[in-house]
Amino acid sequence: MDLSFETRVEEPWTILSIRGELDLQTSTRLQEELKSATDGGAWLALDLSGVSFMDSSSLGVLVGCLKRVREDGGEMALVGLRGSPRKVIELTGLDSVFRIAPDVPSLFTA
Amino acid sequence: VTVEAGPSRASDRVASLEVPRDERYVATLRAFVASVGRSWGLDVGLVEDLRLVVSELCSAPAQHVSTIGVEMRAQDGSIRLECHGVREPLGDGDGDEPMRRRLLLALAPDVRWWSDGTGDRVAFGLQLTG
Repeated sequence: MDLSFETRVEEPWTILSIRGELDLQTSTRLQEELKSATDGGAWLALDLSGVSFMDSSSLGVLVGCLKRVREDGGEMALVGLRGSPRKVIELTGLDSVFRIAPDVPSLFTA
Repeated sequence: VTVEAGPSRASDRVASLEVPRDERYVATLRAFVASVGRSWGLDVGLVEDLRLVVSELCSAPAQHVSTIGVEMRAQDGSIRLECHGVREPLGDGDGDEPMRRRLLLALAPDVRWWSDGTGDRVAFGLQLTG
């Protein structure tokens, strides 16, 4: 399945929506897209509702991005977790590290 | 790519797939175990767990192998999955390794690894449902 990224801004959040599968093969592309989305500092919401599969190969990339964003005074949220992305985040305990939201509108009400 | 399918008896079924040692084929192995799992009547959650475990194991191939593969066997109400050509899955490492290890132990607590001289192998079992 092809991997696609779409970025939009809903202040203060930059929302990066991902569709496809995230694994070892796609981790470099993910890293590049995250870097591009957070250049100059950002509040980044990663919408994973379109991700049909994710394994641990992407976790290091996500944690690295979180660290960078927070060092720049921003925040990073994971949105729309379901299926394997949700399981991977929960079983590794990262649900207590990232800000988690069920959907994009929830980012503005929490 | 090698695909083999065993006897069709519900109580004793086997299916295997072997692919080149290339990260592009990990998605193929995932799709294979998901397809076989669904055709054997596994519930959605179990199929998702199988995909995840196979992806974790097969994303770390052993150094010396040219192919990696999986074999699924359903027998006596349980399913056993074996991967070959992969590295020891629970070893110490850095980077993503600690999270990978935690994930594997949660999903497949009876995972075990051995080297049989033809390639490193990992096996684990799951209870069949549905």
